Amino acid sequence: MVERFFPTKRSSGDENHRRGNLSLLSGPISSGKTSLLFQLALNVASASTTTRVVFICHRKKIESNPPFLSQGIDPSSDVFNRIQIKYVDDDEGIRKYFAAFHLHHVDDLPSAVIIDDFGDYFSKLNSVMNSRARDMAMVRTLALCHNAIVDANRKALCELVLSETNHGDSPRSLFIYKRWIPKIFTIKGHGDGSFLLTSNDTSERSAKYSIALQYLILEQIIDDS
Amino acid sequence: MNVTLLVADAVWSNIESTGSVTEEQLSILHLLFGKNLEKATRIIDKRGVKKISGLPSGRSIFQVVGESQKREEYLCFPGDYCGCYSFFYDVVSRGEHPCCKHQLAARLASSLGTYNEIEVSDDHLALMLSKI
Repeated sequence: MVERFFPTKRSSGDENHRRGNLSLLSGPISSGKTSLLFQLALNVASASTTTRVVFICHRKKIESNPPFLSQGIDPSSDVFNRIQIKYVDDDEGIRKYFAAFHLHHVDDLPSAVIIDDFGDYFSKLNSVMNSRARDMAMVRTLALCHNAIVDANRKALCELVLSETNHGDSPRSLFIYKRWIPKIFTIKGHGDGSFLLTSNDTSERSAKYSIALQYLILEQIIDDS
Repeated sequence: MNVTLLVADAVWSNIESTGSVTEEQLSILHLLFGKNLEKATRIIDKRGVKKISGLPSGRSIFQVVGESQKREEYLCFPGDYCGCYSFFYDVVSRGEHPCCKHQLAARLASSLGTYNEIEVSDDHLALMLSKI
Protein backbone atom coordinates (compact mmCIF):
# COMPACT_ATOMS: atom_id res chain seq x y z
CA MET A 1 0.00 0.00 0.00
CA VAL A 2 1.51 3.32 -1.08
CA GLU A 3 -0.42 5.10 1.69
CA ARG A 4 2.05 3.68 4.22
CA PHE A 5 4.68 6.15 3.02
CA PHE A 6 2.55 9.21 3.93
CA PRO A 7 0.95 10.49 7.15
CA THR A 8 -1.82 8.09 7.93
CA LYS A 9 -4.11 7.17 10.76
CA ARG A 10 -3.14 3.90 12.37
CA SER A 11 -5.38 1.08 11.25
CA SER A 12 -5.61 -2.54 12.34
CA GLY A 13 -4.84 -3.60 8.77
CA ASP A 14 -1.35 -2.14 9.02
CA GLU A 15 -0.09 -4.97 11.23
CA ASN A 16 -1.04 -7.50 8.61
CA HIS A 17 1.06 -5.62 6.08
CA ARG A 18 4.06 -5.79 8.35
CA ARG A 19 4.13 -9.50 9.10
CA GLY A 20 7.13 -11.02 7.37
CA ASN A 21 6.96 -8.30 4.79
CA LEU A 22 9.95 -7.36 2.68
CA SER A 23 9.62 -4.36 0.39
CA LEU A 24 11.79 -2.35 -1.97
CA LEU A 25 11.31 1.32 -2.77
CA SER A 26 13.04 2.18 -6.01
CA GLY A 27 13.33 5.61 -7.53
CA PRO A 28 15.58 8.12 -9.28
CA ILE A 29 18.08 10.24 -7.41
CA SER A 30 16.54 13.05 -5.34
CA SER A 31 13.00 11.73 -5.68
CA GLY A 32 12.25 11.79 -1.94
CA LYS A 33 13.00 8.16 -1.11
CA THR A 34 14.60 8.97 2.23
CA SER A 35 11.65 11.22 3.10
CA LEU A 36 9.16 8.48 2.21
CA LEU A 37 11.11 5.93 4.24
CA PHE A 38 11.24 8.27 7.21
CA GLN A 39 7.50 8.85 7.08
CA LEU A 40 7.01 5.09 6.98
CA ALA A 41 9.25 4.81 10.04
CA LEU A 42 7.12 7.41 11.83
CA ASN A 43 3.93 5.60 10.91
CA VAL A 44 5.21 2.28 12.23
CA ALA A 45 6.72 3.80 15.39
CA SER A 46 3.43 5.59 16.12
CA ALA A 47 1.60 2.28 16.49
CA SER A 48 2.35 2.08 20.22
CA THR A 49 4.73 3.44 22.87
CA THR A 50 6.79 0.26 22.71
CA THR A 51 7.11 -0.02 18.93
CA ARG A 52 10.66 0.48 17.67
CA VAL A 53 12.05 1.10 14.22
CA VAL A 54 15.69 0.81 13.13
CA PHE A 55 16.73 3.11 10.28
CA ILE A 56 20.04 2.05 8.69
CA CYS A 57 21.91 4.56 6.54
CA HIS A 58 25.25 6.16 5.70
CA ARG A 59 25.98 8.91 8.19
CA LYS A 60 27.39 11.40 5.69
CA LYS A 61 24.50 10.91 3.28
CA ILE A 62 21.74 11.53 5.77
CA GLU A 63 23.55 14.45 7.36
CA SER A 64 24.02 16.12 3.99
CA ASN A 65 20.53 15.19 2.72
CA PRO A 66 18.23 14.81 5.70
CA PRO A 67 14.66 13.66 5.02
CA PHE A 68 11.85 16.15 4.54
CA LEU A 69 9.06 15.76 7.05
CA SER A 70 5.40 15.95 6.16
CA GLN A 71 3.60 19.13 7.13
CA GLY A 72 2.12 19.05 10.57
CA ILE A 73 4.65 16.59 11.99
CA ASP A 74 5.98 17.82 15.35
CA PRO A 75 9.80 17.38 15.37
CA SER A 76 9.76 17.25 19.18
CA SER A 77 7.32 14.33 19.29
CA ASP A 78 8.25 11.29 21.42
CA VAL A 79 7.76 9.09 18.38
CA PHE A 80 11.19 10.14 17.08
CA ASN A 81 12.78 8.56 20.18
CA ARG A 82 11.52 5.21 18.99
CA ILE A 83 13.30 5.47 15.65
CA GLN A 84 16.90 4.35 16.10
CA ILE A 85 19.25 5.67 13.42
CA LYS A 86 21.99 3.11 12.85
CA TYR A 87 24.97 4.26 10.81
CA VAL A 88 26.50 1.49 8.71
CA ASP A 89 29.44 2.11 6.41
CA ASP A 90 29.56 -0.97 4.21
CA ASP A 91 27.81 -4.15 3.12
CA GLU A 92 29.72 -6.20 5.68
CA GLY A 93 28.14 -4.08 8.42
CA ILE A 94 24.68 -4.90 7.11
CA ARG A 95 25.46 -8.62 7.04
CA LYS A 96 26.80 -8.52 10.59
CA TYR A 97 23.63 -6.79 11.79
CA PHE A 98 21.35 -9.42 10.29
CA ALA A 99 23.65 -12.30 11.22
CA ALA A 100 23.12 -11.27 14.84
CA PHE A 101 19.43 -10.38 14.49
CA HIS A 102 18.30 -13.41 16.48
CA LEU A 103 20.19 -12.10 19.51
CA HIS A 104 17.40 -9.55 20.03
CA HIS A 105 15.20 -10.30 22.99
CA VAL A 106 11.63 -10.63 21.75
CA ASP A 107 10.68 -7.40 23.56
CA ASP A 108 13.50 -5.51 21.83
CA LEU A 109 12.80 -6.68 18.30
CA PRO A 110 12.17 -3.71 16.03
CA SER A 111 8.83 -3.72 14.22
CA ALA A 112 10.56 -2.49 11.12
CA VAL A 113 14.10 -2.31 9.82
CA ILE A 114 14.62 0.25 7.07
CA ILE A 115 17.77 0.42 4.96
CA ASP A 116 18.20 3.62 2.96
CA ASP A 117 20.02 3.34 -0.38
CA PHE A 118 20.70 -0.38 0.00
CA GLY A 119 22.25 -0.71 -3.46
CA ASP A 120 24.81 1.98 -2.69
CA TYR A 121 26.43 -0.32 -0.12
CA PHE A 122 27.53 -2.48 -3.05
CA SER A 123 28.37 0.17 -5.64
CA LYS A 124 31.84 0.62 -4.20
CA LEU A 125 32.61 -2.97 -5.12
CA ASN A 126 32.38 -2.01 -8.78
CA SER A 127 35.60 -0.09 -8.59
CA VAL A 128 37.55 -2.95 -7.08
CA MET A 129 35.92 -6.08 -8.42
CA ASN A 130 33.70 -6.81 -11.40
CA SER A 131 29.91 -6.53 -11.37
CA ARG A 132 29.54 -10.26 -10.71
CA ALA A 133 31.27 -9.84 -7.39
CA ARG A 134 28.90 -6.98 -6.63
CA ASP A 135 25.91 -9.15 -7.46
CA MET A 136 27.23 -12.02 -5.35
CA ALA A 137 27.62 -9.71 -2.36
CA MET A 138 24.03 -8.49 -2.86
CA VAL A 139 22.77 -12.07 -3.06
CA ARG A 140 24.50 -13.03 0.19
CA THR A 141 23.22 -9.95 1.96
CA LEU A 142 19.63 -10.21 0.75
CA ALA A 143 19.49 -13.90 1.66
CA LEU A 144 20.74 -13.12 5.15
CA CYS A 145 18.28 -10.22 5.57
CA HIS A 146 15.42 -12.40 4.38
CA ASN A 147 16.33 -15.24 6.71
CA ALA A 148 16.67 -12.89 9.68
CA ILE A 149 13.27 -11.27 9.10
CA VAL A 150 11.44 -14.55 8.45
CA ASP A 151 13.01 -16.04 11.58
CA ALA A 152 12.14 -12.96 13.67
CA ASN A 153 8.51 -13.19 12.58
CA ARG A 154 8.22 -16.49 14.46
CA LYS A 155 8.17 -14.32 17.58
CA ALA A 156 6.93 -10.86 16.62
CA LEU A 157 5.84 -8.74 13.68
CA CYS A 158 8.84 -7.44 11.83
CA GLU A 159 9.27 -6.07 8.35
CA LEU A 160 12.18 -4.96 6.18
CA VAL A 161 12.02 -2.03 3.79
CA LEU A 162 14.89 -1.17 1.46
CA SER A 163 15.38 1.73 -0.89
CA GLU A 164 17.44 1.74 -4.05
CA THR A 165 18.36 4.50 -6.47
CA ASN A 166 17.66 3.55 -10.06
CA HIS A 167 18.73 5.39 -13.17
CA GLY A 168 15.96 4.12 -15.40
CA ASP A 169 12.58 2.58 -14.93
CA SER A 170 13.60 -0.25 -12.66
CA PRO A 171 16.47 -1.16 -10.37
CA ARG A 172 19.53 -2.47 -12.19
CA SER A 173 19.56 -5.58 -10.11
CA LEU A 174 15.81 -6.20 -10.17
CA PHE A 175 16.31 -9.88 -11.02
CA ILE A 176 18.24 -10.27 -7.77
CA TYR A 177 15.86 -8.29 -5.57
CA LYS A 178 12.80 -10.16 -6.86
CA ARG A 179 14.14 -13.45 -5.52
CA TRP A 180 13.78 -12.24 -1.93
CA ILE A 181 11.65 -9.08 -2.09
CA PRO A 182 8.04 -9.70 -3.17
CA LYS A 183 6.82 -6.11 -2.88
CA ILE A 184 8.35 -3.42 -5.07
CA PHE A 185 7.33 0.23 -5.06
CA THR A 186 8.58 2.36 -7.96
CA ILE A 187 8.89 6.14 -8.19
CA LYS A 188 8.77 7.99 -11.48
CA GLY A 189 8.89 11.69 -12.26
CA HIS A 190 5.48 13.11 -13.09
CA GLY A 191 6.73 15.98 -15.22
CA ASP A 192 5.41 18.88 -13.13
CA GLY A 193 7.93 18.57 -10.31
CA SER A 194 5.84 15.88 -8.66
CA PHE A 195 6.51 12.17 -8.45
CA LEU A 196 4.29 9.13 -8.85
CA LEU A 197 4.65 6.20 -6.46
CA THR A 198 3.24 2.89 -7.68
CA SER A 199 3.21 -0.68 -6.42
CA ASN A 200 4.01 -3.83 -8.39
CA ASP A 201 0.56 -4.99 -7.31
CA THR A 202 -1.52 -3.40 -10.05
CA SER A 203 -4.69 -3.66 -7.97
CA GLU A 204 -3.29 -1.14 -5.50
CA ARG A 205 -3.58 2.61 -5.74
CA SER A 206 -0.82 5.04 -6.73
CA ALA A 207 0.26 8.23 -4.98
CA LYS A 208 1.30 11.55 -6.49
CA TYR A 209 3.52 13.56 -4.18
CA SER A 210 6.00 16.42 -4.10
CA ILE A 211 9.09 17.46 -2.13
CA ALA A 212 9.57 20.75 -4.00
CA LEU A 213 8.79 22.93 -0.97
CA GLN A 214 11.11 20.89 1.31
CA TYR A 215 8.13 19.13 2.83
CA LEU A 216 6.82 15.74 1.85
CA ILE A 217 3.40 16.57 0.43
CA LEU A 218 0.91 13.96 -0.70
CA GLU A 219 -0.97 15.56 -3.57
CA GLN A 220 -3.30 12.80 -4.69
CA ILE A 221 -4.11 9.14 -4.27
CA ILE A 222 -4.94 7.70 -7.67
CA ASP A 223 -7.19 4.71 -7.94
CA ASP A 224 -6.33 3.20 -11.33
CA SER A 225 -8.89 0.44 -10.95
CA MET B 1 9.69 -21.29 -11.59
CA ASN B 2 7.22 -20.40 -8.80
CA VAL B 3 4.94 -23.23 -9.94
CA THR B 4 7.85 -25.65 -9.54
CA LEU B 5 8.43 -24.50 -5.99
CA LEU B 6 4.72 -24.60 -5.14
CA VAL B 7 4.42 -28.19 -6.36
CA ALA B 8 7.61 -29.08 -4.52
CA ASP B 9 6.23 -27.52 -1.31
CA ALA B 10 3.24 -29.82 -1.50
CA VAL B 11 5.54 -32.83 -1.87
CA TRP B 12 7.76 -31.71 1.03
CA SER B 13 4.68 -31.36 3.25
CA ASN B 14 3.53 -34.87 2.39
CA ILE B 15 6.99 -36.30 3.06
CA GLU B 16 7.17 -34.50 6.41
CA SER B 17 3.79 -35.79 7.50
CA THR B 18 4.69 -39.42 6.76
CA GLY B 19 8.43 -39.32 7.52
CA SER B 20 9.18 -41.25 4.38
CA VAL B 21 9.26 -40.73 0.63
CA THR B 22 7.39 -42.85 -1.91
CA GLU B 23 8.47 -43.78 -5.43
CA GLU B 24 5.76 -41.55 -6.79
CA GLN B 25 7.03 -38.57 -4.79
CA LEU B 26 10.58 -39.24 -5.99
CA SER B 27 9.28 -39.29 -9.57
CA ILE B 28 7.62 -35.92 -9.09
CA LEU B 29 10.75 -34.48 -7.52
CA HIS B 30 12.84 -35.87 -10.38
CA LEU B 31 10.50 -34.23 -12.85
CA LEU B 32 10.85 -30.91 -11.04
CA PHE B 33 14.55 -30.91 -10.29
CA GLY B 34 16.17 -33.28 -12.79
CA LYS B 35 19.67 -34.59 -12.13
CA ASN B 36 20.03 -32.41 -9.06
CA LEU B 37 17.67 -34.77 -7.24
CA GLU B 38 19.98 -37.76 -7.75
CA LYS B 39 22.93 -35.71 -6.57
CA ALA B 40 20.94 -34.54 -3.54
CA THR B 41 19.98 -38.08 -2.55
CA ARG B 42 23.64 -39.15 -2.84
CA ILE B 43 24.62 -36.34 -0.46
CA ILE B 44 21.93 -37.43 2.01
CA ASP B 45 22.98 -41.09 1.77
CA LYS B 46 26.50 -40.05 2.73
CA ARG B 47 25.05 -38.17 5.74
CA GLY B 48 26.27 -34.93 4.27
CA VAL B 49 23.56 -32.64 5.71
CA LYS B 50 23.95 -30.88 9.04
CA LYS B 51 21.44 -28.55 10.66
CA ILE B 52 23.05 -26.02 12.95
CA SER B 53 20.60 -24.49 15.41
CA GLY B 54 21.25 -21.60 17.76
CA LEU B 55 20.05 -21.83 21.34
CA PRO B 56 17.87 -20.43 22.72
CA SER B 57 16.64 -18.56 19.63
CA GLY B 58 16.04 -21.58 17.41
CA ARG B 59 17.38 -19.80 14.31
CA SER B 60 19.14 -22.31 12.11
CA ILE B 61 21.18 -22.85 8.99
CA PHE B 62 22.12 -25.98 7.08
CA GLN B 63 25.65 -27.04 6.21
CA VAL B 64 25.86 -29.37 3.23
CA VAL B 65 28.91 -31.30 2.04
CA GLY B 66 29.72 -30.94 -1.63
CA GLU B 67 30.34 -33.87 -3.95
CA SER B 68 33.84 -32.91 -5.01
CA GLN B 69 36.88 -34.61 -3.54
CA LYS B 70 37.58 -31.55 -1.48
CA ARG B 71 34.30 -32.20 0.36
CA GLU B 72 33.66 -28.51 0.79
CA GLU B 73 30.89 -27.52 3.15
CA TYR B 74 28.33 -25.00 1.95
CA LEU B 75 26.12 -22.90 4.19
CA CYS B 76 22.58 -23.13 2.95
CA PHE B 77 19.10 -21.77 3.59
CA PRO B 78 17.11 -24.50 1.80
CA GLY B 79 14.50 -22.24 0.27
CA ASP B 80 16.64 -19.20 -0.43
CA TYR B 81 20.37 -19.49 -0.62
CA CYS B 82 23.48 -21.61 -0.98
CA GLY B 83 27.09 -20.54 -0.89
CA CYS B 84 28.04 -22.67 -3.89
CA TYR B 85 28.91 -21.34 -7.30
CA SER B 86 26.01 -23.15 -8.95
CA PHE B 87 23.46 -21.31 -6.84
CA PHE B 88 24.70 -17.94 -7.93
CA TYR B 89 25.35 -18.87 -11.54
CA ASP B 90 22.66 -21.39 -12.48
CA VAL B 91 19.90 -20.42 -10.06
CA VAL B 92 20.13 -16.64 -9.61
CA SER B 93 21.96 -15.29 -12.66
CA ARG B 94 20.71 -17.61 -15.40
CA GLY B 95 17.50 -18.81 -13.74
CA GLU B 96 18.04 -22.25 -15.25
CA HIS B 97 17.39 -24.21 -12.07
CA PRO B 98 14.98 -23.51 -9.23
CA CYS B 99 17.63 -24.54 -6.70
CA CYS B 100 21.03 -26.19 -6.44
CA LYS B 101 21.67 -29.77 -5.29
CA HIS B 102 22.79 -28.61 -1.85
CA GLN B 103 19.53 -26.75 -1.25
CA LEU B 104 17.64 -29.79 -2.47
CA ALA B 105 19.60 -32.09 -0.19
CA ALA B 106 18.92 -29.80 2.77
CA ARG B 107 15.22 -29.57 1.93
CA LEU B 108 14.78 -33.30 1.48
CA ALA B 109 16.82 -34.12 4.58
CA SER B 110 14.77 -31.60 6.54
CA SER B 111 11.52 -33.25 5.45
CA LEU B 112 12.78 -36.75 6.21
CA GLY B 113 14.68 -35.85 9.37
CA THR B 114 17.85 -37.38 7.93
CA TYR B 115 20.33 -34.71 9.00
CA ASN B 116 22.81 -34.38 11.83
CA GLU B 117 21.56 -31.80 14.29
CA ILE B 118 24.13 -29.63 16.00
CA GLU B 119 23.15 -27.11 18.64
CA VAL B 120 25.35 -24.10 19.22
CA SER B 121 25.04 -20.89 21.19
CA ASP B 122 23.28 -17.98 19.52
CA ASP B 123 26.56 -16.06 19.63
CA HIS B 124 28.34 -18.85 17.75
CA LEU B 125 25.54 -18.98 15.19
CA ALA B 126 25.81 -15.23 14.65
CA LEU B 127 29.50 -15.63 13.95
CA MET B 128 28.81 -18.40 11.43
CA LEU B 129 26.09 -16.38 9.70
CA SER B 130 28.33 -13.33 9.44
CA LYS B 131 30.68 -15.36 7.25
CA ILE B 132 28.04 -16.26 4.66
